[in-house]
Amino acid sequence: MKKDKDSTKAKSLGKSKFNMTAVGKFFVKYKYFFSKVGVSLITLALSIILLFFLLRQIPGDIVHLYALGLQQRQGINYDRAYELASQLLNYDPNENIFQAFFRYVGGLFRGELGESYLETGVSANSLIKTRLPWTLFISSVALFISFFLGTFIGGYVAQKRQGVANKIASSYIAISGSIPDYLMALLLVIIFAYQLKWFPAQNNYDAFKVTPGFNLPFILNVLYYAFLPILSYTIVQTGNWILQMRGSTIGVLGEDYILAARARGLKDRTIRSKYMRKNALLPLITSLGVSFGALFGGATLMESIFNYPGIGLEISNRVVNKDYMVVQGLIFFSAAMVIFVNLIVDLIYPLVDPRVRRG
Amino acid sequence: MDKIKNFFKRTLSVLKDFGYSLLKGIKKIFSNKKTVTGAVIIVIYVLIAIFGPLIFPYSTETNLKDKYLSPSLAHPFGTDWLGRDVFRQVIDGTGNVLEIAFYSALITVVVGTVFGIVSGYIGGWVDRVIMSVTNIFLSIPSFPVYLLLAALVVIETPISLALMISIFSWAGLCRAIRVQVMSLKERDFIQICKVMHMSKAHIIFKELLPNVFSYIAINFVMAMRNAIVASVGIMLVGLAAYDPTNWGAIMNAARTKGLVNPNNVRILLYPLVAIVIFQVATLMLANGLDETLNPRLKVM
Amino acid sequence: MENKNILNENIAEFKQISIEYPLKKYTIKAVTNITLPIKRGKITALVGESGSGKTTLSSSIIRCISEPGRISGGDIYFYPKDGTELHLKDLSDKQMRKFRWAKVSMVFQAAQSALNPVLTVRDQFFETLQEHDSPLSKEEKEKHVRGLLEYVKLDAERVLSSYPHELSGGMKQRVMIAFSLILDPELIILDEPTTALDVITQSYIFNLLKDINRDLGITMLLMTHDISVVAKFADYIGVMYGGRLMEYGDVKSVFKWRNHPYTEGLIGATPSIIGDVDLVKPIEGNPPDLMNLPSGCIFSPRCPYCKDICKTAEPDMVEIDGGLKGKCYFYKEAKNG
Repeated sequence: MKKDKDSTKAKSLGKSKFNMTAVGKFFVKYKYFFSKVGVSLITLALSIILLFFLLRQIPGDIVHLYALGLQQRQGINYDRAYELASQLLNYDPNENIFQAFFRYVGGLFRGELGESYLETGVSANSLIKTRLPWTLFISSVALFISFFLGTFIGGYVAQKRQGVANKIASSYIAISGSIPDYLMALLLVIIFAYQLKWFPAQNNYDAFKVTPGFNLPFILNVLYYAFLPILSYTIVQTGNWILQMRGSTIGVLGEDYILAARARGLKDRTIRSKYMRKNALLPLITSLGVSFGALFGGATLMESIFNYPGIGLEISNRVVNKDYMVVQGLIFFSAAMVIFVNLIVDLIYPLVDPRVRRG
Repeated sequence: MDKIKNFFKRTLSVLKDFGYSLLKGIKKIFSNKKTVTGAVIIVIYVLIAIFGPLIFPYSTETNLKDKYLSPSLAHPFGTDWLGRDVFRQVIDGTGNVLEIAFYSALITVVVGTVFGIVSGYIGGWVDRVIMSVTNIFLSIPSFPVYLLLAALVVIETPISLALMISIFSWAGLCRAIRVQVMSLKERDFIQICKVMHMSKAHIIFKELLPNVFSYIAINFVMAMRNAIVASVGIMLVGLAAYDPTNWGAIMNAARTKGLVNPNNVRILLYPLVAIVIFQVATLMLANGLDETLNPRLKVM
Repeated sequence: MENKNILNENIAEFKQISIEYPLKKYTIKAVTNITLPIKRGKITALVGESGSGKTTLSSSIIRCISEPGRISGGDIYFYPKDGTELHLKDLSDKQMRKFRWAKVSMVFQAAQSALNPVLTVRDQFFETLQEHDSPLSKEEKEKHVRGLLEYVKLDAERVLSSYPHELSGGMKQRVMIAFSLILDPELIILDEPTTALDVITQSYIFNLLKDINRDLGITMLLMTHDISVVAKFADYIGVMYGGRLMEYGDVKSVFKWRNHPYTEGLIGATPSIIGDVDLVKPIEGNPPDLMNLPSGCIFSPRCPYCKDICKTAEPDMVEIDGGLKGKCYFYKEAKNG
């Protein structure tokens, strides 16, 4: 098997040397890079199509609602407002579906992700600018804390599978895996915000006490307000990372090179860090992208429970208020972001794990 | 006469063998403590869903005089802000939650398995197309789209909500099944079938499917878990509120009434605990099945 | 203690060693009561079907039995060049760590999986020198490692900067051989060093190993199930079956007399290029189930000469002249017959 692969690789390389142009060589050399970028672009294109068809589902009376809103705010007559509203919503029963699609894509390409009909001057773009940092802050901090904590514990209990620690870890995984993160958030809010009153129940900082900017009181206040959201994500996510790292480490423990390293008389400490941890940890890096996507999507619920003004809260509020154009813009942006993060992880991975470097 | 007798004898013996092997299989599956505990709890939930509303019928009648009553014999979980019995609400909502979970798991497993097997077995461009479609559903954050869909499409039945949730959940299973099929395809017994020119239908239904069956069974349970997380979450935001006794809807109502009021906290905790217990039970069942059906994966 | 200036003719001796694998419900006896000398400067081969306990036995020298195996009885004596006598059972974990690779190194069956895939060959070579507190300077280490790689006919520059998966199977096995020499050991354990390789590479590797044995005087313990390799390569042979040593002696006598029925079976089961294929006779039956061993001689169910006595009790090891030892009731008689 292995030999066959090697020989075909050698063959194709030989061929490429023979009749490849410089451009072709460039593509062969960076084949991995281009194929990953290509797949990401295709996924993005397909998501645009999906969102477009989703928007076609908007029922007709929404246009009426939009028109009323526009009429009120801009002081124009109803017919004009209706026309404008159907344009905004991409909703014209007489329009050819392809025309509608290209107009929609054109808008995305111009960077117009969607105007709000509720407030003038507010669009998906402006919301992303103000809300994204908060969502990114919460989800990335939670992701990194849970990743380091979870992989550390997971690696430890994998080596002591008969011990008490593993039993505790197993129960923790089962319980944290059985409480959806938003219910964990609800529980924490009830306990720490409403009962004990240790932490605030909503918002991202106290606008009366601190002024936004790079000053210590503001940063401390932000951390104070972010504590519960981050904690609820971390509690749930850590279980997931323990589970993954334990499985990965147990797999590595059975490998011959661990036994061989012991036979070579290496210190236990060296074997643990350079052989077990490193080898078990590397494959988990690819899960980071997936996990980020889950946190980003989950932000919708999480932020509405903490009333934390990130992208997720905007999505859930605006869905309820029927501000669909903004919602689709935010969803498109979230999808693009998750695709982008996964692409970055895929591109970085070969640099850290030599096993796939020549893939 | 003799022919008929013989026929009966033969069918009987076949049935007997089948029964024995089935019994043996069931015995093996239920020899695992986790499986039994999980299954028993799930059965209790199902019984509550079926018979609960008959024994404790729920009435939407409001009675402001009795609002926020503490738990008592008449109202085991107390009453809400309109004086309605919370216990009966929770019982009434069980069926709805389980129905959504069951339908969604069914759709997920059927769609995911079919596309996974097709993708893994046929390969080529079919595989590529299916994989890029799964890519979308794995990249777009699912929950925001659920919300948008729940707002755009009229959802009035458990099936439509289940269908909506399954739009995303089949993709992950499809990929996992595909990987399994691809590795099975390289194994000797499938290669032999191919050399013997057996039909694709035979290979898929008689050889591949039985080999991924345990995997499918476990994923059915996992899909149920995911469906509960998603459906309760959707209702918790106040969308798809076609059934006010769904646990998510109860929690949302209590939450919007304000958690500063400890009575609302109490109301919220009953469905929350019900969900957590159910999720623990499904996880135990899934882990137990995993241990008996895939003995090589003994992790816990 | 005897005169320390005269080195013991054995470099190591297994003394009634038993190894168990305690599992949840029962315990598997992988090695039962084996006493076996390893002659200094010679190549001793251990043959037997897979599961006969060869690898378990040999890895017990460096206390590297795979989990959850443990030595349940006996000891191993080791006689290093300095004339001392080590009882390996008494070594502390730290002493054992220093002993590994410095005195006894190993070439593994699956070379491709014996190297850490995420470290370069250079990292792994230097790490080993480092952890054994090598007194060499940086330049000397570099020179030493390069010298070894060149000795096994590898391009040192390229190999050192490579990751294991970038090398071919034959190259990896040569890297492992060079690696096993890095601390100048006295004994090398070769665990089926060529099973994963093609025939031409196999013979190349064996010639290389033979050279190492002759030029550097390093003792070798070779595990194999290929009896033809033993004939060409080894000086002494130990035949293992079901965790027991069935026969031991110098290769020539053992092959000539074929006193033990199992050894006879193994030799008879090997095809020869000149001989007729019809003459190849596989041994009937299956290797013994270690959890459910037959009573009496454990080979009795498959033995063509099985008598009633064979089924009653296990025979003892019998020694006959010429240093041949065998575990069979009819061992002595067979030689004459």
